[in-house]
Amino acid sequence: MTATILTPTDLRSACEAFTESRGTIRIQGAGTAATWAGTAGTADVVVDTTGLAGIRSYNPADMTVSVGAGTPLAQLQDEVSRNGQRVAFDAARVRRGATVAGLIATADSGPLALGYGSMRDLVIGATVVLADGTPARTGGHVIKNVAGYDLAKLMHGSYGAYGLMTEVVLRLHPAPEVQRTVALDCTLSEASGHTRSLLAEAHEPVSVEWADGTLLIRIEGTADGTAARTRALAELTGGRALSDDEAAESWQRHVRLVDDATVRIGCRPSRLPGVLGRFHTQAVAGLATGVATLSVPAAQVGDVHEVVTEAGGTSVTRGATEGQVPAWGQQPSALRVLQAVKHELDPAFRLDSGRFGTWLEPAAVASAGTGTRDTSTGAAPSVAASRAEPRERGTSGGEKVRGAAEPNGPTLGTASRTRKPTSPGGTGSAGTEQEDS
Amino acid sequence: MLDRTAHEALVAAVGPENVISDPVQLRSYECDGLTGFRQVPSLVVLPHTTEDVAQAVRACHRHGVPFVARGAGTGLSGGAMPVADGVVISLQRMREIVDIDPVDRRAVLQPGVTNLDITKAAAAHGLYYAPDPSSQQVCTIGGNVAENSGGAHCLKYGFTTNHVLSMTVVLPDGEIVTLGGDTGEQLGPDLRGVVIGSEGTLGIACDITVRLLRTPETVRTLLADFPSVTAAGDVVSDLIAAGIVPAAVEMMDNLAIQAAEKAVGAGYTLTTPAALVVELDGPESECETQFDEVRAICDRHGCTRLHIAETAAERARIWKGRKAAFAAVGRISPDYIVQDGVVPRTQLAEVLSRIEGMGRNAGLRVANVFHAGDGNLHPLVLFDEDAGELERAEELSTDIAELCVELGGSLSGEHGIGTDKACSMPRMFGEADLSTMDRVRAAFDPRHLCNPGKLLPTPRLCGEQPGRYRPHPLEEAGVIERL
Repeated sequence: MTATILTPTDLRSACEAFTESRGTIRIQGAGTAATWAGTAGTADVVVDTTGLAGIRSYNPADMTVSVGAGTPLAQLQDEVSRNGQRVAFDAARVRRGATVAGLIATADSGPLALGYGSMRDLVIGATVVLADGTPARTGGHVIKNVAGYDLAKLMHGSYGAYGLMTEVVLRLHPAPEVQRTVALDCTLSEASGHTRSLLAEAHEPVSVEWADGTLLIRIEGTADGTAARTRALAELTGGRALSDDEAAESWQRHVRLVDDATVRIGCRPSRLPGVLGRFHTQAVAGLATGVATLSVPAAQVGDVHEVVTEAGGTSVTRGATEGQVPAWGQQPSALRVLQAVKHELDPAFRLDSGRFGTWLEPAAVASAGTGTRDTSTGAAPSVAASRAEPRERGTSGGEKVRGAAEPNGPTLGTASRTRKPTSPGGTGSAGTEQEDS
Repeated sequence: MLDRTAHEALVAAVGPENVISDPVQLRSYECDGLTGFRQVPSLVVLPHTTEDVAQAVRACHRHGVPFVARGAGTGLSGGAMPVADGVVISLQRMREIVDIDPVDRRAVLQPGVTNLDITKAAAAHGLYYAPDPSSQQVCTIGGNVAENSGGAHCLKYGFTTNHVLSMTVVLPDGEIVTLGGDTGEQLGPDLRGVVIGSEGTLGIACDITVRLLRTPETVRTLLADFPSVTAAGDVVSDLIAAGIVPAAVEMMDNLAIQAAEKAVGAGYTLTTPAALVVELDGPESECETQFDEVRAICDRHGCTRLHIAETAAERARIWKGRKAAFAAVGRISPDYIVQDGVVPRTQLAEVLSRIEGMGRNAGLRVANVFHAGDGNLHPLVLFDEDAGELERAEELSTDIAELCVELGGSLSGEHGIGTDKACSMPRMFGEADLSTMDRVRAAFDPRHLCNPGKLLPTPRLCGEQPGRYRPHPLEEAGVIERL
């Protein structure tokens, strides 16, 4: 099957991509996360977001910028850096051309997350087109704003299942005068100990990462201030202040390690050494954030899911996995709400990211008993019923059930399922970044 | 009134000793900090545990009874105003600090724990909880979650949503779920971020896990007087242009200064047209360099007096004046309305001069206190109800909020929409935007039982037309059409 590729360039054509097409739709950005959280299946229509590019409005004095959702973040960084500003975000794949909306849709983050959070913390507004072509705005152009629901959060980590972002408003930060890195070769558990002592001090690192054998501590600020803190940190840890070139090289290696990883995990920072210690493999660990990526063969992914889940954490695949390897280690506690939101925003199930296993498939959503607006009497479907399985295939609101649905829904615990990888339908580049945008 | 079976179900859910049904006692729950909107609830329940909350919500759901969650009742938008024939679920008895973990730097809290108590409990470990709304001595973390509270320091440190890792939420049908997790990693879309700031309309947050930060090494605070509000505004612009992110930048105009000084004697200059409070914090080596720069910028804009707090007590005094400013206005006016709008920083001068003009036209005084760093204004409209000025004052206050939207800002920076501004929402959002929000609400609460009538405009609240019609900006740009 060959998918129709649509490349909207503005809000109107983005709306038309939905209202004037038929069948299932997959949203695609730069394709830098094509194999994350499983692989997207085939769709009748592919909406390519890369035409929604460029700065829409930027007043440096307000320190906010509005951009087309398909704008590569690296390009945006170049633009705002001319005014001494930046988007305080540095996920590894930014260098490979990842788009702003793709980074949001995949809930990605980089080492700077310790200091500045992820895209969810930087997005202050968005325009989203729903599957029925409805354009909806959320947030605005000011950093402080509590008017209405924050629907940009709903897009964060949605892999394109809820809507197409067309425009995103971001908060900017001043670019630091100086960045410095202190490095120390050590084991993960030594690094964890160092992290504990340095966090007890007031040096305010923006990144603390163990990159497969080397602890990297980054600080930012004024030339004088960072010099003093660098000395203190080197003394505290027994590490060494890197030259700018050395620092760049160390962080590039960090990027390569993250790019090569096959699983992304998150758990309480103090539990990371124990969890990662179970797998003798290449890994990168944010020792203050609790976020780590590791490279394990496909056969071991299931074990990672199990160990991380036991530690109360989250895990998701980041590389192509063969066969029946589940993409997610555990299913969200509020899956029923995710399904209800899907039912409300995309009742015809046109947006098909293929990234959540069977979580958001029609049969699962229908059997979750959601979308019962204003049924005036009687108890709501109980929790137990909503998680019952196996899920029946059925119809939901008269919509077509897609044939590809797996018979079983995800189970509690570690057994979410992904569909077998199928070859992406006729899209130029292999697969999607996110359902990136 | 509740019907008898619903009443009995609720009593059974939390136990008779945790129910208030006495009409006199019920009256203490008739409003929140926005006292103009009042409604006595049919019943108040005071659960002790998350399971109690779930039982109470299930009883409401089973009997189709609307319910409103309530923390300390300090909200300023009528978000916790009860619903007629509804139940108030007060979280005041759930005030346990469940856990402080100094290693992973987080705290687990029941919703009734006050904001300041989190920091007090964490201080022993050199940690603190960053968001600090002015009401932090009494307001609760549950209420902070509902409103996505900020505070004076949110320019640098962000809002509640940036500090909550996870929370147990009782959904509107009584199911208990966990949103968020141990890290920023997510299992699918960020429902935690949707619920935070939803003003109690999507569920009730119970056990809340927040990040704790290390207490900054240094805090430097200065109070600077300026010959005009414009000059003070220029200082703020220059600070930002210099790449300085202060922990806080607060501006007060003369009327607000007079009121605050009368109330607490914080050492403000009674005659100055405008004053700024600028605070920097962080590692000492960084702070000192930037603090010098701040002083130079102040001087450049004709600062007439610059006072640097040399001790913690002096700093506290400066802040006391600022934080007392709202209540202090009561000393210079019999009644007042606090407004809460946001404009892009670059529109500060414009919005202030327009507010002045609008006040003059309405024949009312407006005092200005605001978080200048993020463009969040708190104009205080002064009036005398006995002189029949209430209606005019309310109209002026609403016009100011809507002016903020017109200038590219927002109806609310931190107080929320609640009951107060629901009818202004169409000024900021188009029909499609609001209907999308309503769809999300329906996904959580298909039966409209959870804090109904708040946040989104309803015909009942706003008349047939929800608010005054104004074209959606996309419509004006010819991008979309109204069908």
